[in-house]
Amino acid sequence: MVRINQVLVLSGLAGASVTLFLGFLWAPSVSSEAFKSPLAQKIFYWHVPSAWAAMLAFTMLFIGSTAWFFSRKDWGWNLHVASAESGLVFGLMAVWSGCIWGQAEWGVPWDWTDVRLNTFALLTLLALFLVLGRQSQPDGVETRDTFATFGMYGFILVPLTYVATRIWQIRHPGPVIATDNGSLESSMALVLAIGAISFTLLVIGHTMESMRMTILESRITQLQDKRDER
Amino acid sequence: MGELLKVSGLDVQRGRKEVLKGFDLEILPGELVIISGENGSGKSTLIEAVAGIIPPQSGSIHVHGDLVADGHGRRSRPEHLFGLCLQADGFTGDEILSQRLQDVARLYGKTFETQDLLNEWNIGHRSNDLLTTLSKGQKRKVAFLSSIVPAIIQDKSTLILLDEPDAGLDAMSVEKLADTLANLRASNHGILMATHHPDLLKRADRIIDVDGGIQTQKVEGGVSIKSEASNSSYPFVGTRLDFRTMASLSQNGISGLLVMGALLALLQIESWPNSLLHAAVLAPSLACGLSGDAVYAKLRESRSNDWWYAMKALPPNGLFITILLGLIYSCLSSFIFVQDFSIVLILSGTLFCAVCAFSMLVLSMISRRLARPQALSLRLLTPFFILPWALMVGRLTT
Repeated sequence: MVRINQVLVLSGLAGASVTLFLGFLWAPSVSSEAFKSPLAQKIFYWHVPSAWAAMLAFTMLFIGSTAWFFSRKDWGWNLHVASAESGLVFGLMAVWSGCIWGQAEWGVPWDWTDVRLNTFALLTLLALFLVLGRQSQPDGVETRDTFATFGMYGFILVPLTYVATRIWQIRHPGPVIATDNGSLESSMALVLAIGAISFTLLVIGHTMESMRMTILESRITQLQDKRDER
Repeated sequence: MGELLKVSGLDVQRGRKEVLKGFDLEILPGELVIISGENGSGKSTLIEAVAGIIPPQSGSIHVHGDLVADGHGRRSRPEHLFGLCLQADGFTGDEILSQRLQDVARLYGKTFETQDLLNEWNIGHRSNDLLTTLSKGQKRKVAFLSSIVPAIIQDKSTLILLDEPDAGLDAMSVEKLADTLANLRASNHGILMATHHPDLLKRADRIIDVDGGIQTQKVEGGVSIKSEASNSSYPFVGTRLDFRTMASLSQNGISGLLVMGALLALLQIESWPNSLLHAAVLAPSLACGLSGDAVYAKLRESRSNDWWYAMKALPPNGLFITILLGLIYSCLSSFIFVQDFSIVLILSGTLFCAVCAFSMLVLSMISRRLARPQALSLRLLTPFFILPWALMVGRLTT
């Protein structure tokens, strides 16, 4: 029987493939006057949706962490675990694609003074810390409380990342969608929208599937505990 | 006079297991209550929950009438602190015996003569020795004496929490322990103790089995026990430990030195732009602050950090020496890299070192309850300080 998680993941993957196809082969190229490397600009259709998916994952991380920390809800902990993994995956995608684009466009892959670049990287690093840290500790309330604390406080970086290019634009370009700074050409906007929807389905499906695996892991642990008591 | 301890409907979880469920307990002044039960039944969990080390899932704990913790996440330090002897000794090997008891007394703003008490317990000849040189039984005596100091230096009834204080003690010492407990009862202090020892069980007013069952017995005896104490200030235990062990110098100092040395050795200062020079000035103090708190790391020994957490919110730490090192490195780097003692650069470097050091301490404190804190890669979070550092460099350059 096909589960909804699988449907979401497969749909997301299919949509991401379509996005890449359309982005590289159908969407118009940008002018060489506005961009130093017009071909590299195509990374935009991967980079922006993966960053959006990562931010979604970090928001779910906050919700899950809060639900566990204040109400000791098991679903909150499962969401924390799953969204930390999703945040790491999509965060790395955004960082890696951004570095490639940055090298081509700016001549450097990174800028240590740019707020957006660095706060986003820190969010990804936080996700890595949570994933690795959880694997190093036995499951229990102490472990869950500690990591939920990190998940909650780390969320402050999400709004900071969002407003970074509006307040301190240093290297990373500012928003181009529905702003006074200009907007996308319609076909580019269409491809971007397909990408955003695809990655949304992908991150939600990935998170739900990870939650399912976390629940199954807990069940195995309970069975092992029962076996130990015999 | 009200209860010294009131526990209502307490549920406590440890790891994946619910250890205490709906537990109730009251202790009045002058009572010795013993908690008994099998290994893993929740004796230590009860004592640590009352001490505020483990948060309860539900229920409430009142000490001297003050709410210490409840299941809604409310926590506070009781106005009258209690005595505590954990199953692990609760101190580091780098402390000196007599100073240990003095530090406990100073938490209550008092100081007292420790030699007589130590002589009574046959460890007076070790009063100036490091605790690491003591035998297991001697360390257990120190842990017990640390827990009764609050009672013997104060005029008011005090709650004393003891988790297997008899472990590792010989027969004579156990008898001495039993007599001291009787004296504390006679002085109107309240004692909650976890133990299996039959000689101590017969001294209890009540024996409570964690799994259910209460046994009451009539117990007499004991004489009032008190030591004269005078006022004193809060002990700067962390700084003293740091000076004695050179922990921050070895950890944070070396990090800063390595960074400064590497910058000097590998790069040509004459050809650097201002931004790089400013970064070089601030880099050693950044490394110094990010290396973590060496003193707090030592407190992991014998759960000393848990003991301090139960007693005071901020545990002993190495912040003072780390920040001092940050100041020294900022001055040195400023002179070496910009050939001037720039007040702005020096203050910036010192402030950054202070912020980083404090943040690393807080991160370590957050991970206190983990089963394997050493396995946690806290260093992964240190890049959080790179951005503000880079922004500060950029700001100073412009």
